[in-house]
Amino acid sequence: MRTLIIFLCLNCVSGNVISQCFSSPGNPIGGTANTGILHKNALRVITFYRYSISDRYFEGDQKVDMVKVDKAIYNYVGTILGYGISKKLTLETEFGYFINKKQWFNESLNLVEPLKEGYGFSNAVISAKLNIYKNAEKRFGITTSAGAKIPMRQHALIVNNTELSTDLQPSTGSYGIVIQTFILKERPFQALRFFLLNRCEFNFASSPDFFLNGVQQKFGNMFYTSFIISKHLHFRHEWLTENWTAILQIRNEVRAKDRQDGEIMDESGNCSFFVSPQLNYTHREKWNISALLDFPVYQYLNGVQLAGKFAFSVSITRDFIRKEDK
Amino acid sequence: MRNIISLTLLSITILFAGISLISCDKKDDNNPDSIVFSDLFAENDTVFIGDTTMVTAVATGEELAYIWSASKGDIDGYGDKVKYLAPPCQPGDFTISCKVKDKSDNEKTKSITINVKLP
Repeated sequence: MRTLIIFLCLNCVSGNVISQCFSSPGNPIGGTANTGILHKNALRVITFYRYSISDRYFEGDQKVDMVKVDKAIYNYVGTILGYGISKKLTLETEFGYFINKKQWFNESLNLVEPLKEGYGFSNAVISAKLNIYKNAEKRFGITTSAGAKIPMRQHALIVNNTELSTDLQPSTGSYGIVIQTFILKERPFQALRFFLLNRCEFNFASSPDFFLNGVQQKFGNMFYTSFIISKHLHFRHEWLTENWTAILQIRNEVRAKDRQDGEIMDESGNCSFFVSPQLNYTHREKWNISALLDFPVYQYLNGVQLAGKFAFSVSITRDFIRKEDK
Repeated sequence: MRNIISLTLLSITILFAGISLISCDKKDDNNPDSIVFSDLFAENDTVFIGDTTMVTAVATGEELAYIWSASKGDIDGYGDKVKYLAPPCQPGDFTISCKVKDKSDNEKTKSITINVKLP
């Protein structure tokens, strides 16, 4: 079976963040998602880069004028490592680094520093994936995954003697639990694959030592549902298209409201829908190169929040499989 | 193949160990008497959403550094006087903290509350 790398373009970040593309509950955790399990003793290395931009405020699902942040971007690099323990069990870890998270404040605010910038390691996720059902004849399979989210910082980032806001922090400073399910259905004669991915992230409150003022921040739990269709391209000039796969992802993200010392923050949380076209190239069945664009098609943000505009990701994947295991 | 796996696992271990070391704090030997942090106050204790107010720390000591934090909103500026930007749409009581450190890493912290209200 061809390896297929699906981008789960998670726009959220807090600490690492995403209102719902920028305020962060941490990282763009994994720009890609392994959609299944690996061969026993196989190692998969995925490295990806992600760029995201937000330059408008939404109240509910309506764009509103707001004089605060004119533009916000982030540049993020991440890695996912997967290792096949057995033919049904794979261990996986995700971690990454914000090259920068920037916010440009409006000139009318007359700030000493109109550009504020964060950077640093985001949260890491370590998980185990288990194939719980597989029907080779019907080309259908179900895989589940459970893991822990681990903050890579003990204290909030301070730049120029000022603790950055949560939107600019690279890490949430809090632990969490990540649960995923992957359902796969293939139609090999049509070169089609259908995926249904669900991911739930449950966040605990940060330690009282994380922020300088002792506030305990609990980012809202998050629920992602992605429906993905992939098509291996077969055109007349097969030499040109045989290694290409086109992928379309429709994704829903729901994020509950944040809490600060137990108090609900009304200007947080959202329900958004995204469309993400992706193109994947496979080289010698070992290397995969993917590029993805991520567009929000509907966003409902609680209160008034900075909303995402679009995001772009590229990734490179390399599989290491022993000859005797192929 | 085993070497690749071993090398990869070793790299991950070193990476996490390195991160832990970087993140570890030094143990401070505080000498409270070296810093006198007498006051922390805001120009306005109550502001409207989206408004700004100046916050001032009054402290004495050797080569003081002022480190600022806000539970919600943003802080702009350096030194003993900064500008607090209230969140544009979230009312509530928010904490502004200032940690003052001297050249020997002795430190003291004070906090105030600013009430952000709807117009």
